[in-house]
Formats: sequence, C-alpha cells, structure tokens
Amino acid sequence: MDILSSYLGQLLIGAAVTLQLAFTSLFFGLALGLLFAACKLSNHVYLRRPVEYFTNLLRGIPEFLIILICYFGLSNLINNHFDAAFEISPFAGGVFALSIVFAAYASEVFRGGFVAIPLGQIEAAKAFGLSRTQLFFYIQLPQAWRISLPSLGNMWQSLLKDTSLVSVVGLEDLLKKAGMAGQFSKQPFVFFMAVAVIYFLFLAISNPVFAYLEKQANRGYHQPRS
Amino acid sequence: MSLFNDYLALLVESGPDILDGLIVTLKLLIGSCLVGFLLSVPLAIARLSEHRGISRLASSYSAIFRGTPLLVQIFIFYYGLSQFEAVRNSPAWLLLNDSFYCGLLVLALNLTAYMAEDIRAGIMAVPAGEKEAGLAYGLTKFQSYRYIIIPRALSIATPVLGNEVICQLKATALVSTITVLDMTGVVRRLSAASYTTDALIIAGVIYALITLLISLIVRVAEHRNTRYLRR
Amino acid sequence: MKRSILSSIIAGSLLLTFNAQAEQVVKIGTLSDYAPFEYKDASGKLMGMEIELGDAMCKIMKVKCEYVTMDFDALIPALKARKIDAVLAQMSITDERKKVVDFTDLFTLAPVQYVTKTGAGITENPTTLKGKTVGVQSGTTHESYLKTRLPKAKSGIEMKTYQSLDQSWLDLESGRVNAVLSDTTVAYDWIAKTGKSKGFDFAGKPIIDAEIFGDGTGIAVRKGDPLKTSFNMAIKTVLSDGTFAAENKKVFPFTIAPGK
Repeated sequence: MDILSSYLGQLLIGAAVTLQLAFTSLFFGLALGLLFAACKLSNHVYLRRPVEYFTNLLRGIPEFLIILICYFGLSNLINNHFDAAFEISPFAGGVFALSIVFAAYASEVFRGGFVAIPLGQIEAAKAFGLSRTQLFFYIQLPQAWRISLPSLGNMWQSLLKDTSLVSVVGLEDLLKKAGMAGQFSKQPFVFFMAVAVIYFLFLAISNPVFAYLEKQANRGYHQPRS
Repeated sequence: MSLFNDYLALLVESGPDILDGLIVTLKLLIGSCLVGFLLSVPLAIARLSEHRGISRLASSYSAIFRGTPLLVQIFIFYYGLSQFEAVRNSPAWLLLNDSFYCGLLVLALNLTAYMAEDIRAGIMAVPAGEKEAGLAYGLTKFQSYRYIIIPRALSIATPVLGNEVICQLKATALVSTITVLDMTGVVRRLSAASYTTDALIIAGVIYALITLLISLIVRVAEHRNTRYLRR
Repeated sequence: MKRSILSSIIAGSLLLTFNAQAEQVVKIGTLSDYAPFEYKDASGKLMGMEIELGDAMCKIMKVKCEYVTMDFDALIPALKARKIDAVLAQMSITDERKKVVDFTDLFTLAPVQYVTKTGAGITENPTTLKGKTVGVQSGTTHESYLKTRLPKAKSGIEMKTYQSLDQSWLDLESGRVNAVLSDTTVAYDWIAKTGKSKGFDFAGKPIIDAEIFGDGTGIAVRKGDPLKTSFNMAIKTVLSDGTFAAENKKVFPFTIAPGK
C-alpha cells in the first residue's frame, strides 16, 4: 500500500491530465456535434450527404485507430503541406480524435432531438416574429438538449473511458503514469487496480451530475395527461 | 494519382499480413460475442432475481466491467495478474498465458456486462400479459423463461444487441496493446516500419466496411425476427 | 508615475520574451523506461546516463535542451514531423535508418544478446530457439533481426513485439516469452536489479550482424540538419574530457565508449 503513496503525486497529475482531456474533448465534441447535426438537417444535399457519410465512417472505425491516425497522420500532414507550422502534441491529437468521434455520435443524438420538437412550436415562433437565431436559442436548443441529455450522458461515460486510449500515443495521463509506476516498482497489478478505482469514481460521480442536469432540463415540462 | 499508387503498392505488399490480422480480429469478435452472449443471459436473469444477494452480485459485476475502461481491464488481466506466483501456478494460467486467449477472455467478460443490461431491458419490456399467460398455463418459472420470456426478450433486444456487436468489433482493436496481431496490431507494425500512416488508414476503411456489413446483417435478422408482428 | 511603471513593465516583459527566444531550444526525443540510460523515478523526474550526458553536451553546445519522451518506434516519425530535433535513445546507426535520418558519429557501443531463464538451454544458436517465443521492442534492430534473419517460417521462432522493453521483461518473468533479445547494456541493468534474483541471465554470446545491428548508437537528426556537426563536436568533447567515462562508470563495470 505504501508503494501507492510514493507514486500518489504522479497518479494525481495523471488524473488531472485525464480530466483535462475529457472536458476539452467534451467541449469541442458538443460544439462540432451541433454543427454536424445542423448539416444533417440542412436542405442542401451537398451538405447533408458528405456529413452523413463522414459521421457514419467515424462511427465504424475503432476510436483507438482514429487516435493513432490523428496523432501520427495529422503530424505528417502538417509537416508535408504546411511545413511544420505548428506541432501536434499527444494532448492535441487526443482532443482532436476524441472530439470528432464524440461529435459523430452527438450529431445523430442532436438530430433526433431537433426532429422531435413538434412542428407547431416552430410555426408558432415564426408567427410571433422570432428571428432564426432567436428561434434556435430559445425554442429549439433547450428542447433538443432536454431530449438528448440521457444519450449524451452515456456518451460522456464512453468519452471518459476512451481517454485511457490516448496513453498509447504517449500522453502522460492516468493510465500511462500508472503503467510507468507499475513497471518501475515491478507491481503493475496494484497500480492498474488503482487506475480502475479512480475511473470508477469519476464515472460514479458523473451519474448524479447528469441526473441533476436532467432534472433541471425537465423543470416546467410535464407529460400531457392522457 | 501517386497517392493511390502508394496505397495500392502497400496493399499488394502487405495484403497477406493485413488479411491475417483481419482473420484474428474476426476470431476475437466472434469468439467474444458467443461467450459474452452465453454468459449474459444468466447474468441478466440474475440481475432480476428476487434473491437480494444474487442480484447485488450481478449488478456489481455489471457496474465494475461497465464502469472502468476496457484498456485498463486488459492490462490488469494480462500484466497485473501475471505478477502473482499463485496465478501462474493455477489452471487459469493456461488461458492467461496466451495473449490471444487472455484478450478474448477480457473482451468476453466486458461484453457480458453490456449485453446483460440490454437483455435485462428486453426482459422487462416483454409484455406482462405474455408472462402471466405462461404462469396461467402452469409452466414453471424455468419453463416460462425458456420458452416465452427469453425468446421474446431477445427479439426485442436484437437491434441493441446488434449495436453491441458493432461496438465489440471496435473494442477488439484494443488487444493489439498486449501484442496480439489483430488487424490493428499488424497495421501499427507496418506503419512504424514505413514511417507513414497509410496502413492505418487502410485498416480504418476495412473496419468501416465490416461495420457496414454487420449492420446490414443485423437489420435483416431484425426484419425476419419480427415477421410475425407484421402482416 | 503610473505610466512609467506600466511602460517599464511592458519593456521588461518584452525584454524577457526576446531573451527567452534568443536562446536556441533543442528538443531531444528519448524514452522514459530504458534504465539506466533514460528513465523516470518515483517523482516523475527524467534521469539516466544519456540524460546526464545530454545535459553536458547541451552545455557545451550552449543550447537549451528539452526532453520529450515517447515510445521507441515513435521517435523517427516525431523527428521527421519536427516534433523533436534530435533522438538520444540508444538508437543504433544502421544503413536502413540512414535512408531517412542523419546520424552523428558513434556515441556508444551496443552489443546484442539473448536473455533467458538459466538452464533453459538457449544460446545464440537459432536452432536452440526453435519452437520458442522471443520478445523484442517495436522499431528496434532486434525486431528487424528476427524478421529478416530468422522469420518464423524458416526458423520456427515466434516473435512478440512490445511497445516498451519493460513489458517484455514482465512477460519474460511470467514465462510468456522464453527469451528477450535486446541490447546487452540495458539487459545488464535489468539482470543486475531484478533478473538475476529470479533466475534470469544472458544466454550464449553476443550476436554479430553488422548489417542489421550497425556498429553502435548515435544521435539522430533530420537530414541535412547542421545540429549534426554541433553534436559531433560535443560528443568528441565528452568522450575525451572524462565526462563520458565518469557517467559510464556509474552504471556499468564495463565501458561502452566507442573504440578508436
């Protein structure tokens, strides 16, 4: 047990990196997901079809492989065509990969959310003279958010677990730190178990948070009595 | 054009290796899905058991395997357990020793937890009327499960289970981290040797194609399963 | 009064940033799990023989050095992608690698040997390895050796490739591989610290294959990079002024300095 305490500092640093990676990817993933959903709902075929194919492609490739391609491939791309204008760190490569995968799934969830809004509400908003932007932010987004929230909760759990994959491209996150500690101390079991416990705790904390968010999103909304 | 030629040359040169990797990936997928499925039905029933000890045990299993990353589980089973002398001398070592079977085991145990949740949802979604009819006919609990509840639950859960199979295909890529030469393992080696990412992209395309194939198969299966519900 | 303070703060910070940029930063790619050459201790600090020598050389070259750690097989791609400017990770100088990168002069010697459980009856003779499994690190000359000289179809030897050498030691201990093929230097350190007490030791004699293993290790830089000349000068200095010998003595009872 005391071997854990000597490496505790390192593990906590790794855990911080993991959380940083997860929240950053969540932010960009949600933003991109909304963008993709908007494209999928667009009336322009040349916008809809490519995005559909792209998101379907992303959902069919292992996240692990996407992380490898993004980290190594993006670096080569930037190096060959942009003469190393900026470098892709393992963190940046990880955020990029995790965000686009999250966005691919989120786009489908958001699309379902937007489609589920009764058409009458949109017509009423237009009748009231609300602009497109006002319609989006005051009517559509809150309701789509409410409907999407449960699925988004599941996706967040997957995202959090997938952050462990970025350790393979060298990011010194929780799993990598634990691996290094385990190899140095010749006790891999203790450290990997510690990582499992920490991830379990992170996910366990996420559940009540999402329950609260769902409650907030559902306030004032009640099912019509049958 | 030369880009296309590069990929073609890579395919020709390393095609057999990638094919070998693909076969390993498919073996992992089919093996873990079969074992996972066989284990998940009892686990789902255990989750719904009236006996509190059993249902608590089953839900802890689910919580643990769904609440921790698969990669961590793989490392624990492969590197973590091998640390202990007791494990190395036990019969379990026959399985854990080989990286392929160790990976297959972890994939199966992981999938069991997810599938059990889906089947549990399916069981709960079976119309109460059908369950009651079974009891009214005098069937024992075991018989009503075997002939009425489970088949109906599985047919309800087919789309979700199909989704799990697709997720499992993507999960098999993780065993490349414990030296298994599945498709991801093969292309990582090729990519490292050539300092390019062409091999990785080819593998990505192949994975996407297989995903497409599996979703088509699931859709056909679902269609045929619910034939009796349509006119 | 306020304005002058503000302007002096601005001037001071500008001066600092310009100062920081004036010093050239050389990013050196290395490993984090290759004791005693480069490894991280419990507090996460990077240390080891090559790190000490690297710091000494950077002082001689009057540049600031930053170390970036990664897996061995990611080093050359990172060098090509300009993520790092040099590779200091016991990388052997081979013709194969010279096609993509430039190397400095010989930095250390790196003989290659098998490590197995004592009494396993394995020597450097490939026939003793028939039907057995050998562990190697991904991207190394050891991996190429087994792939080109002893492919499975011809020799019956199963090869397992690991991202880090530490993982191969773990599997050697647990019996998943019968032997590990690696540099004698790193193996010596592992055997002395862990292996010997668990019954592992060198097997047979070092393997000679100059075409695949090269003559020794060097520092890799991008093709045509003038850093090569600076490093060459620094290498010559540490080899002659006793810094290399002192660091060498700290970790090995034998010398790994290039002869001549």
